[in-house]
Amino acid sequence: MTRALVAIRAVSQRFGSDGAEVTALEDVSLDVPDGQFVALVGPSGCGKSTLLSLVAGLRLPSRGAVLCDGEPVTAPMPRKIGMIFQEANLLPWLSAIDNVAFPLKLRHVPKAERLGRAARMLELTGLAGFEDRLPHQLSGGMKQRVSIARGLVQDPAVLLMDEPFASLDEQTRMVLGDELLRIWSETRKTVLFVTHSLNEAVYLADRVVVLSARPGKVIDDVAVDLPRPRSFAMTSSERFGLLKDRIWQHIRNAERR
Amino acid sequence: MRRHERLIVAAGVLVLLASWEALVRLGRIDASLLPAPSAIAGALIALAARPEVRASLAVTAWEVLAAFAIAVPTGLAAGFALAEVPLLGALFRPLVNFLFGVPKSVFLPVFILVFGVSIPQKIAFGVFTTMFVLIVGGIASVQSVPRELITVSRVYGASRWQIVREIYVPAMAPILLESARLGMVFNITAVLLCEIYGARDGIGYRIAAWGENLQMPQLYAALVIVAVAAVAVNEALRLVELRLSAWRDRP
Repeated sequence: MTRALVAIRAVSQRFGSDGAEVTALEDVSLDVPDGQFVALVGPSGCGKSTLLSLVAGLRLPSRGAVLCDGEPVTAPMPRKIGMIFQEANLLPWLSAIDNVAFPLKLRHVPKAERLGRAARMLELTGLAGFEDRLPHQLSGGMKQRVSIARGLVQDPAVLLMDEPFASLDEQTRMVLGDELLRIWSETRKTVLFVTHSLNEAVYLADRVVVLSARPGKVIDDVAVDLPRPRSFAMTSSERFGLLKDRIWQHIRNAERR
Repeated sequence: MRRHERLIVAAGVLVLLASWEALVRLGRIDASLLPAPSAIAGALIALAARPEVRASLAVTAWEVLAAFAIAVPTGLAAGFALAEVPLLGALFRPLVNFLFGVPKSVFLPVFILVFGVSIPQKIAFGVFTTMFVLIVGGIASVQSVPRELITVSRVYGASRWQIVREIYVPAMAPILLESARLGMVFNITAVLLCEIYGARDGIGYRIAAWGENLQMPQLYAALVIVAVAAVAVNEALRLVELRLSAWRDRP
């Protein structure tokens, strides 16, 4: 059995103080083996982004613990965990290549080395030739590619993606989804991917974890047994529809409550 | 501007000056109110040659620069404090907003009572006027820092100092420079106003004296000098600002 690279152990997260306390996550446990692509879905407000920020070490859970590679996560672990957000969040005053090299700069990697590594990442994400562009000179999809390159530049074991394609148009979203699968098959990162889109979840992931709303609990854990590499044709297959249907039932029930 | 546009502008200015000159010579404009450009130019050359006028310009320049050097750091520090410390903000921001909208010349007598008619008085009044621009600019610059970029930096392991250097400073630079430039405009105006109101030296003091004696060519020549100096400072600061904010998405 492959060991869990990311282990979420009985995590609860409460916000606010007495009186106006909100339980965002309750007793969530999840083991993610090395190299697995996991999608997190659930109705809005189910705490999936909160869960991701706990794994990222941006906050500490009220109860329970998160382990990465056997080590408790108490602060960001930039060398083990890369993160990609809904917005590309690039530094607008830095060129594409300097944005990708930014995490290395924070670690004082020599300039020549960090630019070399950043250039390779831009190539991997299909942006060779755009090194010197400023963010405002790039399209939304290209910005998100830069952001993915930045997430990968330290070669982290884990990639956290918080609705990375949610603010892109549908076509760009599909193209980037395929690109992400290609990059994932080349690098074999462990991916935790938060999304609102059931199509995206089933199409990309090995496994879809469904959370319920307020408090967020794991209500289903669906293995996606579609073969790889995935193709667009699979999205109209019967199996794809069945998987999507099963997840949809949970979401609909949760939204009704 | 393109080359032919520049030519058109230059030609337009020449036409304007020529018609002004002609109207004065034809007696259509009273030369004792608005002298001809040639008379102003003559006065300008004569003034520039007089050592006491140059000394007055130096006095004013010193007052302006000293006030600016004091007002920028103190104003910005106050602005940062008001933006970052919620309690201070709640206490002092209404006061700042109130004083920001009031004409500062109302307070001139207070400055004369405290400092006398002196160079420190001009500097103090310049600082007082300029500081408000920088306080408001300082608050705006802190608020212009995108929170998401701070989160991104934390994920990638930035220390507090790295967040300041890599995110705060570059994100705030354009607004800081813009408020410094705006502050300089207010500063020059304040120091001149102060000198006209009551002084023993400085170009504002000379302007007041020429005005009282109805020496119009000298008065307008002095205005040209002041305007050219103000525009030069303004443009220099604007160039720096443009260079540092090329990343901003401009149409």
